[in-house]
Amino acid sequence: MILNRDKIKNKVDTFFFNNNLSEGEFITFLRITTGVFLIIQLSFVVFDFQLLYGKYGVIPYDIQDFIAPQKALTFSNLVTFFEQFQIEEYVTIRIFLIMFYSCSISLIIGLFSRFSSLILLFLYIAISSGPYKYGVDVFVTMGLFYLTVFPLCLKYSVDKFIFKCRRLPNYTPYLRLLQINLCLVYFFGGISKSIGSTWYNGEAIWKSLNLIGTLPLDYSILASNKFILVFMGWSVIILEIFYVIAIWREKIGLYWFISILLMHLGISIFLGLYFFGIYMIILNISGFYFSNIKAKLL
Amino acid sequence: MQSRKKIIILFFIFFHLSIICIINLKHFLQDYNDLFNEDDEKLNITLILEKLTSSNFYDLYTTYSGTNSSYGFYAPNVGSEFTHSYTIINSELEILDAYTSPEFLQRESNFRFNLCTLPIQDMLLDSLSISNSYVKVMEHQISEHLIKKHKEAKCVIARIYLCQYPKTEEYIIGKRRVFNEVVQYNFCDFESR
Repeated sequence: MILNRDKIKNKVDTFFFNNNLSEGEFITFLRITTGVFLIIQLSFVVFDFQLLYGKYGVIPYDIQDFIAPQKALTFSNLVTFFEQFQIEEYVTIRIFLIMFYSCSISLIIGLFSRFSSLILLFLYIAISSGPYKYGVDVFVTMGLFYLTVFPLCLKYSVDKFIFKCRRLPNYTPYLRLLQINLCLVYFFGGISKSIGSTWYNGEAIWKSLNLIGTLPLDYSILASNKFILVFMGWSVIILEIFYVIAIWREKIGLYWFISILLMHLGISIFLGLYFFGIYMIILNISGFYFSNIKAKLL
Repeated sequence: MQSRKKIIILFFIFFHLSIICIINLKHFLQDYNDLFNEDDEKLNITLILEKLTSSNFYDLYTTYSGTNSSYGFYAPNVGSEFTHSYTIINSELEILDAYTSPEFLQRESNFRFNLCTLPIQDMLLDSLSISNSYVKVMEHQISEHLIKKHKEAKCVIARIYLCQYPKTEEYIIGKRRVFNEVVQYNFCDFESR
């Protein structure tokens, strides 16, 4: 096969810079849903904020900071900084919460969206880099980073009245970045699971359903019919590994998309990982619904 | 769109996705090595990837772009879960109170708090790992927080339990998950006492 340089260049150009692919609705959707998500997520811990994240909370700041990445600006760093100006921790907490909620609302209504997402990125990392981090924090950080670097989409936003766009930006490369990122998420997730034997014999699914915090249902039917667990384990691996191919296909793309959404819905309901499941659904809809799936449904 | 702008955007996309691939490949190879490599020696490529990921710039970029973690959740196998209990006793060794966690007002706070048990798995796999010291200090600090509520309390017995799930055959006959104690700390030295 002779590699035609011009052909490759055209393909890359079309894939990443096709102007007709997106009008930026995915950014608007991601912006609004992320803002709502953050408000709800913070509200679920707000009454215990000082206990969890405070400098002198249940786990003090030096222990929390030990596990945080070196370059992360943690909440305890903020408290220490303001203590230099005689500002007590409870004041810092109140300022933090007001800023977090305000920026989330700004994100929802699209007021100085990029600035709001940048502030939220720093605030979110401040509380999520310590010992309480789990999967959802990785993806919310990713979402906020993308909202910061992606161009503004002025649909359904107050920014429309503030910023005058001479020409609409080309949203396609940013959509492709989000889409490829999602493909990598599932590909590496699936490949990593594929080297674990418990995903093939159903034990991984069974163990997941028996963890603390899962929905306390009677799983006797599953225990008595182990083939269901085996089927579920194989399904997860196949869904994830082949997402990178299937999601782009004309015919099976829609079914793969729905299957992934159902998988995350199942994770939310049965494993008690509500926030993780919901945010993954948000990312999938942002990445593929508006550009690939919507046309198939209509 | 101008060519120069296209090149810059493509470069950023390629750079960002490369970072994602590097961190995921590194973790995948580490997991593969842990599972299948009996010699316990790291593969050469793992060493190269570790070198690539050790710079300050990498640390900063990955922290703020959400790319500092791999996507191998519940992989290669579902990890074990741990929980803890804290028994407050007085000088006569009478039990004053017992907790499984600090008294949070919200359920999600409890869930977040339980995530602090994640390093315990590393600790159990390698008794010399730094996770050992980290867990002990963390448990001590939590105990100190809890003992503050009891003026006459002298010591806290902090226990960590491994959540042992039942096999399918055991579940059918009525067995449910049990908690097996894996480590116990007796803390009597507190700054506040």
